[in-house]
Amino acid sequence: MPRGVQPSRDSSRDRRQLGDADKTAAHSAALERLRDTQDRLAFEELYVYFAPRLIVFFERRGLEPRRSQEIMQDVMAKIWEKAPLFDASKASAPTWIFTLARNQLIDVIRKEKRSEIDYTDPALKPHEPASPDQALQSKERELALQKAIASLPEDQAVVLTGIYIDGMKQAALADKLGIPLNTIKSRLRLALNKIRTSMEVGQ
Amino acid sequence: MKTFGLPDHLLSEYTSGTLDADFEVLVASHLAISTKSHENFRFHQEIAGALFAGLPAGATQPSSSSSTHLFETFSKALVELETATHSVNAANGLPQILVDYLETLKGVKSLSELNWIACYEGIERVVLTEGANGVRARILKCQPGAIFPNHGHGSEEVSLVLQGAYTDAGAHYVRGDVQCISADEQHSPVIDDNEICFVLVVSELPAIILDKSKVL
Repeated sequence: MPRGVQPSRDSSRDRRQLGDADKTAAHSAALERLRDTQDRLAFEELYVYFAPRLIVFFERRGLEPRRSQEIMQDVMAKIWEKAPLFDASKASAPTWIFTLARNQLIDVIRKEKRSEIDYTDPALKPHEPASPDQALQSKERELALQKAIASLPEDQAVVLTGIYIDGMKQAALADKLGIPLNTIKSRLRLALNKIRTSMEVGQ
Repeated sequence: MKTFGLPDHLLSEYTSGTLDADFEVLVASHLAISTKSHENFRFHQEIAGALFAGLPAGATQPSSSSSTHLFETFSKALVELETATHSVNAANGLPQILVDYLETLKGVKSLSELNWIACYEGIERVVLTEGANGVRARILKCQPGAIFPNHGHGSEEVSLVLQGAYTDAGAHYVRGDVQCISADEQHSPVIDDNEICFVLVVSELPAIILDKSKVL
């Protein structure tokens, strides 16, 4: 930031979140080490950070703590199994792990409901080596994303968390927050537009 | 009305894993046979990943021995590469997830094995799922040149072209394209006259036919 420019009101939140792009890059690097050399320490590093967050995620999706613990272990197993498919130029480690967690959750719910559809995601296709350019782009993209999310107004951030993390339908979220469905829709639209714009500018 | 890729509300719920199975199959099928939403899907996944990584650790802690234990188990396991299932069935060109879905629901693996029932002139359909209020997911088989009777919807309707093409309100929809029709819109699609057209249609509430004389 050039001298003399006033920091925005949200700068403390920006700063708090900005370190996350480095953390994300470190997690992606750990996943690559696990992929390339079955590095035990890399797995440990991913476990320390993601195991507690997977548990939180499954609990927020309505699973009992013990069940969440079990499914966390299943996802960690998937991380190990599928590491050969990880491609940092297509998805960061958190995005990749989130997708595994989401698929595992769907499996769990489907098994309880009988019908089973097995599928994976484009994010889980075999990797090709990334060029240094791609790696840089991924990092910059991640930074722009983190920054954009961190600077969203609270009412928009709440909608994003409700949808992606808590897995709520828009109508359920409207009920929970006591606001009209159309307000939820417009907050989602505003939030996505803001993030899109920042990511385009950031690239 | 004009939509060729998926709208954000479907992609965000698909990313989150909270769509009902029929909508989920439609979204995954689109991703398998069209690239029009790939970039946007990645965008939604990135947001989810960033929010996930930003979660605070909670009260339930993983037991400390787990990582070691898991590692011992996995290091013996053989890694098998799975094929991605946003994939296309080589035999019939359908999205693999739709083939799996047809097998689960109907016990068949291709469109030709389904029991088609005529509903309008030149148009047959197979109902895949029903909700409390009636038909939710269906596949339509439309003869070249067929015209849908003008109809509306009690809720948003999402269509995915599986084969062939049609024109609706001045826009042309081809294989892989998505069309969303909101609850307050009416329409009367016209099928291209050189090829049979198959469309997967999902809505929470059934269609409302305005011209009843066209119903067979």
